[in-house]
Amino acid sequence: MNQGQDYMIDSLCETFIHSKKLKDVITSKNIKIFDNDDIRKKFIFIDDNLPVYQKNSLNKPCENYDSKKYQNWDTCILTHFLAPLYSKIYLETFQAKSFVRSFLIEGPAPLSNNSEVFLRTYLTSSRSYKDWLVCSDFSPPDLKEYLLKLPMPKFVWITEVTTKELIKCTNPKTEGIVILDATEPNTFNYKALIFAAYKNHQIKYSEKKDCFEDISIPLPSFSIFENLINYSND
Amino acid sequence: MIEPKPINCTDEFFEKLADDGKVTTLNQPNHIKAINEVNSTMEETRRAFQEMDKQSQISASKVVLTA
Repeated sequence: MNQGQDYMIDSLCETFIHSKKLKDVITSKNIKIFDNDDIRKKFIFIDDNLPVYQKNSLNKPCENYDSKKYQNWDTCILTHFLAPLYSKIYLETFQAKSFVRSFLIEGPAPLSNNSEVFLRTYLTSSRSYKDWLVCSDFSPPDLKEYLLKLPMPKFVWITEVTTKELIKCTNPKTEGIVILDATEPNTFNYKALIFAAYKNHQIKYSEKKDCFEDISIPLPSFSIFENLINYSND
Repeated sequence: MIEPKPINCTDEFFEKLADDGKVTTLNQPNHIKAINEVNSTMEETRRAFQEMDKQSQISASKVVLTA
């Protein structure tokens, strides 16, 4: 990460949480949650009025318009946009992220008091993730082997649970991971949950017992998934 | 005769952890309570999402795009 990105992470405020119930728990336990998606990134625009590939933020998409030529255009805002996803992705981003937050705050192995976490959520194909996992420093090796063997749907939501300090390192690391089935719209009774691991808790489904199990083995921090589109604020 | 070695030892790994008492089955009353807490939050989230989705559709239907 460069200095600009470090600054963006440092200046990040706690993420907005819709649920009043979760807010109350967070306040009482003094937990701080930061979200990678709250970082103000610049996106590439293809605008009919300008040469292609202009960089701008979504908050001010016409900031680079010539104010003399196009009066009042620099104050334009986006009112609607379409984000097409693969047709079989039934678990919405909003719900996937809410589930992870709720799971980390109220679930069977909740975050401890006064903890600060930085969440990074993305959608990927299970093949891409497993391909990355093979070469990653994820350990213990048996747990890695378990994840590689685990049947997964075509698409998964992954949330990496890390800290601001670890994400700013030259080789960014994460302390935990939550894998959700992106093709499962039902989040009740952890139905969309495939695997979760954070510090000393690894939560996985046991087919033999037909319920989830919590395995207490330490999970050393490991590299974040790098096969995503990089961004910069230059 | 040489005994075939298993390619994947994950099952043995988890069995050993269970023998060592490192595995907790999440079916106790406090775990069920935690599941219900997450369920109720997700129900709240689902309703909030439906409301936002509906409002977005209503406002989008009122937009007139001009070339």
